[in-house]
Amino acid sequence: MRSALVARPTIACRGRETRRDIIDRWPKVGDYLVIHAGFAIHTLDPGEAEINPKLMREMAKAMRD
Amino acid sequence: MKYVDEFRDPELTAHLLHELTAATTRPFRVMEVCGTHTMAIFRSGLRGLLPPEIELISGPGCPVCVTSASHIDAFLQMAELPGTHLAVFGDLFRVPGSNGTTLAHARARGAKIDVVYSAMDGLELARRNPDEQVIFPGIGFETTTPGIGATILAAGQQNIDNFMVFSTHKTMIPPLMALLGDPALAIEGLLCPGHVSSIIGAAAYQPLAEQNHLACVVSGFEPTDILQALILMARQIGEGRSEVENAYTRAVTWEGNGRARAMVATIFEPVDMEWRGLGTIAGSGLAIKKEYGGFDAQSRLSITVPESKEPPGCLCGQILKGITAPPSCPLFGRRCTPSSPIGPCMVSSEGTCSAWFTYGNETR
Repeated sequence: MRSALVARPTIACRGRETRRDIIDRWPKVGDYLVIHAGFAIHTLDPGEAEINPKLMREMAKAMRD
Repeated sequence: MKYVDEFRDPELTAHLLHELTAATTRPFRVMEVCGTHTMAIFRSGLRGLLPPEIELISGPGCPVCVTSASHIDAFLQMAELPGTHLAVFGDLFRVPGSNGTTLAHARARGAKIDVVYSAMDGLELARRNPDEQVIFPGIGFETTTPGIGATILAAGQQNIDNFMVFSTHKTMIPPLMALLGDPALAIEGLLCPGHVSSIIGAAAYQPLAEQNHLACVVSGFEPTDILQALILMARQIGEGRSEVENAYTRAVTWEGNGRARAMVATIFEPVDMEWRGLGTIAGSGLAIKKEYGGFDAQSRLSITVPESKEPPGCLCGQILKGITAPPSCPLFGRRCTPSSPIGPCMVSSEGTCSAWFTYGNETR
C-alpha cells in the first residue's frame, strides 16, 4: 500500500492501484470493493456480499417446492 | 469466480425465468436506463427468453452516446492546440463530431492523445510532462464524476497546474424526469442503473416513482440480477404499485455514497447541459466551480462550444429517447457498423445500436 488513499485489491484489477478517495466505507482485508475507473466506490463485507445470492437461492427454492 | 458464477447459474436462471413468467400478468414496457444493462441483456440472451408481455426499451444511460457532437468538436479543438496532450477514456476515441471527425482521426494527424483507464492516469501524464497542457475530457454520470473531482483535488494538493478537465458531466435524474413524463412513451417500469445508484442511492428514484407512477427497481448486471429485478417490477405492476425497490443490495444502499456526493459538491456546480439527441436539459450537467477554475480547460483555454450538427440520416437521437429501435435507422448495419460507426450509439460497446448489431440474432 503506497498511501492511505491507494489500495491494491487482490483480484479483478490485474494488480492496478485503486484509489479510496470517494469510498463509502473504509475497507479492511477480506472485504470486497466495487471499483469504477480506478476508484473504489463501495465496500461490502463477506456477509453483505452473500445477501443477494442467498435471496435468489431462496426464490428458486420456493419455485422448486 | 466467486460472486460472479452464482449470478450466471443456468438452473437458477431457469427458475427465475419461470417465476418472472408467473409474475407477469399483463403487457408492460420497461426502460433499462444504463448502457451496461443494455449490453448485459443482449449478451446473456435474456432478451429472447423473457415473457413476450415484457417490452424492453433502451434509455439514455450510455455516457459516450449522450455526449453531444458539439462537445466532441470542442475536444477536437483542444487536441489541435499546440502543446496540448489529451488523456481520454477509450470509448470516446472513435465518437464522431459534427463533421464525422473523431479523436482517432486527430491522433492520426499528429495530435497527442492517450487512452487512459482513470483520470488519475491523466494526472500522472501531466506530472511526467510538465511542458505540456494535459486535458482530460470529463464524460459520464454520477459514478464517474466523483473520481474526476478527486483527481482535480489531488492535482491541487500536488501543485500540478498543467492538468485540466473539460467537464461535460451529467446527472441522471433530470433527463429521466423529462423523458418519462411523456405519456406517449408509455413506460411503466424503470430498471435503474446499478452503479449510478451506488452513488445517488435507491432513494433518488422516489420522485420518479411517485410523480410518474413508475415501478423503479435498482438492478445489478448479471442475468440473475436482472431477472430478480424484473420479477419485483412485474409484481409491482401486477399489483398496481409504483415504488422503489433495490435488487442490487451488494452494491447499492438506500442512501448511496455521501462521501462521493460531497466530493462532487466541492468541485462542481449544476449547469444546463446539452445531451445528444435530447437537447439541453436544465440543471442536468456539472461545471467546475470558479474556485477550481485553474483546472477548467474550457475557461482556461477559451474553448467555444459550437452548435451541434448530427450526421445526416442518423437516428441516435430518437434511439436514445426510446422512440425508435436501431433496425429502423437507414444507416444501421449498412453504412453504420461497430467497425465503421457513424452515430455514437454504434461506437460505444454499451451503445444500443452496437448491442443490436452484435447480438441481434438473440432478439425477438
